[in-house]
Amino acid sequence: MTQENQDGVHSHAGFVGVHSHEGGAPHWHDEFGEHLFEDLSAEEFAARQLDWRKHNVQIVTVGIDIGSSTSHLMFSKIYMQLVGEAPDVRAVTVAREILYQSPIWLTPYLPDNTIDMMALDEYFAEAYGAVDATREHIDTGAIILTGEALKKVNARTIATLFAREAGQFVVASAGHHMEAVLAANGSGTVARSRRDQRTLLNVDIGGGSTKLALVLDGHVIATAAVAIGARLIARDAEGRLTRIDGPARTVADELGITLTPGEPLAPEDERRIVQTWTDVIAGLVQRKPPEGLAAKLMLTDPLPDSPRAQAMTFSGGVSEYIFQREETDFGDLGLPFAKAIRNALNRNTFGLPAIVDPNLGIRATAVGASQFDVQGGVNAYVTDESTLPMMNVPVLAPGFELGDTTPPEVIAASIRESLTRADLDEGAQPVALSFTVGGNDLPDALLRTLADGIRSALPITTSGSAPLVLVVNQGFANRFVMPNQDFHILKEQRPALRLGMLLKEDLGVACDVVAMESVHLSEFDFIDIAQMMHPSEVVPVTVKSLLFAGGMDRRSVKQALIDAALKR
Amino acid sequence: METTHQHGHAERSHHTEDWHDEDIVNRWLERNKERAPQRRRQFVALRAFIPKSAEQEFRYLNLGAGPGNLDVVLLEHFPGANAVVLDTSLTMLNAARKELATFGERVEYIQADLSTPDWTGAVAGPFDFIISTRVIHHLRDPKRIRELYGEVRGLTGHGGTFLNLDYVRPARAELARLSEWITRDAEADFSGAPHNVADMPGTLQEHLGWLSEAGFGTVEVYWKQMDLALLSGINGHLHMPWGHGDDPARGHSDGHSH
Repeated sequence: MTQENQDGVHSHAGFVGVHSHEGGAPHWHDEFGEHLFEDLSAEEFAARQLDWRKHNVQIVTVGIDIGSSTSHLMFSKIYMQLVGEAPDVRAVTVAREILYQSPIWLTPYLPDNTIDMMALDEYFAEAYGAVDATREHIDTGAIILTGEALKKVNARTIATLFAREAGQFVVASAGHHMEAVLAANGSGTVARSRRDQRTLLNVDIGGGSTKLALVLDGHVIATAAVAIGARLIARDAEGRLTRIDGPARTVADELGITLTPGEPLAPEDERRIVQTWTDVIAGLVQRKPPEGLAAKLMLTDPLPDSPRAQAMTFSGGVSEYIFQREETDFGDLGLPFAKAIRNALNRNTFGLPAIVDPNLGIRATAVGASQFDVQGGVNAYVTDESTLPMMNVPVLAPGFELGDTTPPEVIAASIRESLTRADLDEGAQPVALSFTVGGNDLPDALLRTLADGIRSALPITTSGSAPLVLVVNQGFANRFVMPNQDFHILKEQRPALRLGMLLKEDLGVACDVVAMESVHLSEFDFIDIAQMMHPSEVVPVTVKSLLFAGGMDRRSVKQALIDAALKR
Repeated sequence: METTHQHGHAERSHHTEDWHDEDIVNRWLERNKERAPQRRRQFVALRAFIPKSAEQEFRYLNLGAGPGNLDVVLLEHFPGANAVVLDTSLTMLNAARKELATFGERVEYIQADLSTPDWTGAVAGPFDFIISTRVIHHLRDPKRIRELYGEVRGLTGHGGTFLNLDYVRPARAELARLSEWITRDAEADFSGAPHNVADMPGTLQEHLGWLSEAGFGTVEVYWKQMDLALLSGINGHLHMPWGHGDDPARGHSDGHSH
């Protein structure tokens, strides 16, 4: 759709590169602005087209969210801009068109309390039918599995459902920590915190649990979860209890309430239960150390005492009721629970100065995955080439600052924290550790500290249970190195090579090591590493990133482009 | 102060109203529907002072947006406008959310209390306009209002304007009696206007002084109707849609560009 005003300036509803209208003058638009017509020659037009295609990618992606209470999926068209020159390229998603959103389904269960895969597959087939797409039309996808039951029982089964797309689809089984981080990203709280340089607390209240994520200047710095959720108690149309989960019994016992399947829940008892839930969440938001009932309901450690959040955001199914976007009773405690929370918010019981509505509620999650190939491949040190190719290796981005006085313990703790955030068990699968080190000179002593920290954080991996993937970014200094350059110069400029050799040859780790220079990666990225190419000794790398519903507002996108351009 | 409390019918209730009680807010929302047409006229008269063309993108913050009546008037008229609506009551904001649903992502909702400076922690400037209608007098404390003007100034971008439509106290107490007197002249049509404004926290002069003190280079009264005044504070130079100088469409331009 094109809109034109009297000055001959026009804009498009979608996102377009170099183009012309009905044989008119070729011209182009950036992702925001309106550009005046430019008279381009055929050669200039072709050059611009080529440049545009090199730096702009469009893909169709699907995000499938399977939770313990509800499931949904969404098809989107993604417009990505590649900022920077290979290999240090950053992909920024600049626009998203929603092609189709499924309804929110109650996740179907079999009598043995596992997910009914047949029923789920039928929902998905219906959704594909609705967009008139076959599975070949989809470039990428992300399947997010949440809820403890799913993680333990069904993850593999569900992954096989999408076996046909195994390559393009990333599958993340999210435990409490990762769920909290996904919700903070999905709701746009992370993007908002980065954009506004604020400390925010996202509270995601779902069917089975409540997840808290503390976000400082765009980084999730702490997460916590508690067994409070609207569907821990469910009832039929007549109000008779049909589901009473353990944590709901814990609360009822504490309050002296008897919950009996097939019996109704007295309104006064219902009020007391939702009020107790609200009080526990308020206590956690205020960072009171959980005691008594609150301690019993905790699924993780509580959040640290500081820093204090400047505002709170809500996501998850219950937030739809809090903000009164949804008023349908789904046979659980969603409505009364939200009313109790709303009253508490109106009276500022949560003790935070502001509440921001991220506007995404139950759909505050991953909406798919972006994907791009690093042009020309990446310089790599590989101890055993038969390790490659590797697919969908999850990326960890530990957040320490490497300085002269950083002890290896700090590095190890930071790596372990990043494993926790991703809910990954050390040694159970390969992981890619991504570091950014500053400055031109990287002394051996510093690299040795880094190597010691890695070995101590990953004892199982380094004893040979899985290959270790390392990615080292050296800010501005590190550039693509031509293979015919003198090895000593080459070595100086290749911190990943040096780190890999240190680990393998000096420290003698038993695992295979794949160490790559300068690929910009973030947490929740997954990478495919293809077989090494000779004689250039580079490996082709594909970066897949989880895409989130939030953070697509104009100001956040602008901030992301600036950050990418400045390599922040 | 006792004498002032003997006046006052309509606005008296502000002092006892608890904006944190969902039922009270719901009753207020019900009453609000009746006076909506009159308020819409005032909102349009405020809108007229926003020098933006339909295509121009701009961002405004509405402090104490209530159920979003002003925002409907603005967002419909300015397709390029994006709003941050802020209110102390979540229930009130939920009403605004329904009212403004058609504007989708153009609107952001924030619940915060203006009685302390903490609200600025959730709001990121700069804004082209910061607007507030009939809200700031609820703060009652002149000291807090002066602080708030400073906070607002801090969030106003270069060329940005603060528009505050609010009640002001008459310069002298006895002038309040005129408010009732003038309604006797039916032809003048001041009916429905009287308010108890004698205990409002500031006079017109005081508000203008506070705005200057907060750092607004230009302060002005755009209009005043009875005791309701539209005050403005401009940060730097006013930006007209065509830049500096006269409107070229009106032919005032002398042909030179500056």
